[in-house]
Amino acid sequence: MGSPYHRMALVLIRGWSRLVPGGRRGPWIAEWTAELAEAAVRGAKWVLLRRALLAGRDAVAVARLSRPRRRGPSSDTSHGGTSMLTALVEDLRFSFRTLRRRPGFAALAIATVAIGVGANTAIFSVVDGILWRSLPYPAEERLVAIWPAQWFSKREVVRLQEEATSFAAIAAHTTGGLTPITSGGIRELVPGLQVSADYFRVLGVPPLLGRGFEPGEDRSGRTDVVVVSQGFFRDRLDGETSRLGETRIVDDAARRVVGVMPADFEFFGGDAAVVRPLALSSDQPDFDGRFLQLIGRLKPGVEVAQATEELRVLAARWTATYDYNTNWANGADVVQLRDSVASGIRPTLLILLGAVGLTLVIAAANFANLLLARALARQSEMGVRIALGARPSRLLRQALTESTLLAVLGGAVGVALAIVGVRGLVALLPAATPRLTSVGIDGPALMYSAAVTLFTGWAAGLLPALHLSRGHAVGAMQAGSRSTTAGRSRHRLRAVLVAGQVAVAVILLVAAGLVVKSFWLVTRVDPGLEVDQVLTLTVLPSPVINRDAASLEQYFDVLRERLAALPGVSAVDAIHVLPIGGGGWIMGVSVEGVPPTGEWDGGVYWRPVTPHYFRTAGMRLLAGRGFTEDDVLGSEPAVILSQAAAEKYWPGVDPIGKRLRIGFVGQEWLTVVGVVADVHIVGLAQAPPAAVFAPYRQAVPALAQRNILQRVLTLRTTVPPADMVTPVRDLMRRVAPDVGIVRLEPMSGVVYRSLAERRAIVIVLGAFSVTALLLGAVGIYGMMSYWVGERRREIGIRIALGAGGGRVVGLVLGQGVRMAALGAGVGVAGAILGHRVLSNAVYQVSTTDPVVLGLGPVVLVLIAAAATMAPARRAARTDPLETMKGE
Amino acid sequence: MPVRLTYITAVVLQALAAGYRYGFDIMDRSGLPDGTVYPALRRLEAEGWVTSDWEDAKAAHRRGRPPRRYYRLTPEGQAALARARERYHALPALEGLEA
Repeated sequence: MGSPYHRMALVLIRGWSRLVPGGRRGPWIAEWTAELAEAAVRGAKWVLLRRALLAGRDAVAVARLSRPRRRGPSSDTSHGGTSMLTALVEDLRFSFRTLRRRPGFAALAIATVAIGVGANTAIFSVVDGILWRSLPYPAEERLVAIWPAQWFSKREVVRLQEEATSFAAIAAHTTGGLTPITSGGIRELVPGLQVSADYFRVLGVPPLLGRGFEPGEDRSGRTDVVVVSQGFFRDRLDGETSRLGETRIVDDAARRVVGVMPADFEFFGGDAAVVRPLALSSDQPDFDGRFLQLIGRLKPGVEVAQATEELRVLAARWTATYDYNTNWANGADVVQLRDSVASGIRPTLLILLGAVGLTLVIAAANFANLLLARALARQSEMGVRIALGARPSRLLRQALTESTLLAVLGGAVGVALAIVGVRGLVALLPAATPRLTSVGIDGPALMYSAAVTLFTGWAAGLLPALHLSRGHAVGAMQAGSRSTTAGRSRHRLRAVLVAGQVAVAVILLVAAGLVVKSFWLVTRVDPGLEVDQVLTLTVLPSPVINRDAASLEQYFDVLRERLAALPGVSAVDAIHVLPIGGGGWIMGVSVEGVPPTGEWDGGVYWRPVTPHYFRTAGMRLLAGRGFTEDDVLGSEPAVILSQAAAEKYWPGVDPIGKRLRIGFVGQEWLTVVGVVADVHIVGLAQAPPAAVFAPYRQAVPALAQRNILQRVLTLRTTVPPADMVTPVRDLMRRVAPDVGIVRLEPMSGVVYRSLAERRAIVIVLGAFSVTALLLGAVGIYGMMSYWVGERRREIGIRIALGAGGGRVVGLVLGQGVRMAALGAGVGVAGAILGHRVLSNAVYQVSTTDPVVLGLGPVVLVLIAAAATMAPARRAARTDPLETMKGE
Repeated sequence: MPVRLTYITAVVLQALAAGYRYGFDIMDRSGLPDGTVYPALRRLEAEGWVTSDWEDAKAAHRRGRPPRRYYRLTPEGQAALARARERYHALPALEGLEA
């Protein structure tokens, strides 16, 4: 009994014995134990294992025989569990055998299902992980986002916390930022958030160690504490509980580590290694920068609608007290937190989900078609079986078992494909997509794939199975299989399936055509600045180096000169955020002589730049002057408007010399000295928003006061900018080791990243439509091959009567093309009916673009013709004599 | 008819008649696929053509193995075997102890 094989065999026996009814189980185990002992002595190892495996069959037989049964037909007809099980085992064995005999058919069917299931599982897991999965916080249904599309100032947060009564707690947080950590003189940037004291209470997750923030720790003077992630604690404090309470230099100030969050805690607002408190204050000016977002936990019993209503009333009251345009008046909005997450990418994901659903329809239709073709080929076999007394229900079950087996095999391959596919999808989506880390093939995704697999197996298997089991015993046994009425009806069924596939493929093709055309148009949009010869270097300097605004600028002047001295660099200027991607501040504007209406007009993007930034970045000055070295503190405050801003505030009027006030910068009037061409700040596909540029030297006090230090050095290069990445990094390490590099990439990379979401749609829809085309072509080919086979006699007679090869080819081609054209027509109608779905994903293309709508079906009909060519040629080569002999 | 006198059934009956009395032996000597012997035995036992008893535990222990379950033909089984021999003339003549 010593060998591992023997032990394994005994384990198997124990397992099987579960099938044996209780009273007989003991003797059954004893008998097989003896058998295995015999086999262990006399047989080879594999004999032992094989016997142990076969014992399962015996267990089933014992179970079946020990069921009480009445006299009469054998238990084969009963529907009890065990006999079903036996039948299933038999059916499965039979299916395996028949599939082994037709490996080509099996491979094609498995591949078809694998494509459908794989694509669906991959997209499902992405959509589920990002959109549907509930957030990992206790009682997350009571968590809400407050004005999810808006940004708040510190004072607004304090006011809201004091006055709103619908919430158990309201917390403010920054999003997706970097925090400098200094240790041993080295300055590093790690992901970090700033939050108000209630942040962890709102989310409802207690720290793993230590504590969260106490009330009041988000007020000036008490913010010298920090809560860290478990990873940070492990890496920087060796995971030693005793080191909790140690002090670290975080964001250039000494702060005590008071708490560690659990490893699986999902920081809301962006990944974070360190979380430090905001310094909230109610006496900061109202027009201060807005950079906070708000989350809240509703009091028990309070509905989202009630909270919304309360905030509407508050907002209306506050708006009256503002002397510049605010976003408070823009309607209040409270939404479930889980709906606010990823609301931006939701339309894209839903489009992909729709497309993958259509792909599944095509795959299932193709699978059904393959099964049907096979069913037709096995007609005589079934006829014989029925004639010999097989019950139709038995044949139906056998056929369904076979289609399910194929589907399950395909599903397994599909899951493997999905594991690869999900990685690709995650890489395709914008890196800033929320919750991307919770995307993966896990329990729900596997359950979904199992459901899709079984659905495919049964839905696609049922029609052919019914056909098979109905058997048409007599007709089917006619060896010549002349086209009977029954044959024609089956042919019609296949034609409908194929035409349906074509229709869905046309929808996908049209959708892909629309997004591809949109993408092409977007990439041709002039972003408003130089893309090819510019390198961007986003930095976050330490405030220690620059105690005051003047020394900060001096420091950067020197740094810019050193960078500009690099061979390959012709100029270096700075702006405070990347010019494309929608970062930075949106400010309310007051125009001199125009009383505020109290309504939020969308504001302007406010961007400080160094004097020659426009030239270096390749932006065009349209009117007035650019900034000069003389635009410094003390001289007249100057701004330059984007064309969109000029048209927004002074439509039809020359804005040069006019004055405006900008909330964030303060209450002084700023004079417009120039107008520059628009830049697509938010994204290439979005209309360029209004922007106001200010000279750095005049804006620096406002920035420094709020400790806003990040800036984007913009290098004009004479060589490909990618070649300058390493020299620039080396230089920075040498001359400015305490300046953290946030990002170093060519401007083309910035533009490329900004198109990530659109690119994802194009690639995924493109892949799906190509798949749909291929599956459609396979379907048409299979169907026409069969059609030709069935009409060999008719074709033979035609040829015998003098029809030329061309006419036969025409006959077959006509048949295939007619069917495809019918499907394509339905598809175009479907595309027109559903055109609104894509309205968010297209750019300057109508969702009923006639060119795309026309091209889609043409492509499909051409492919259909190509797929029909081979069967048509074969038909034309038909030897009339041969077909006659066959009769 | 609950138990059909299939070829496999017939061979199992024949093997039992030839004195091969437990599963391993029957599989080994009859040349039947090993997955078929036990289910056939179960059917035959349920039909009353075959009965079984256990090897004496002490005797088995002396030989260093678990007790075997021995099968043997009932009179009905003998009759069935006779019918089977009529039907399957090529039934293998298993060399046995008391054939």
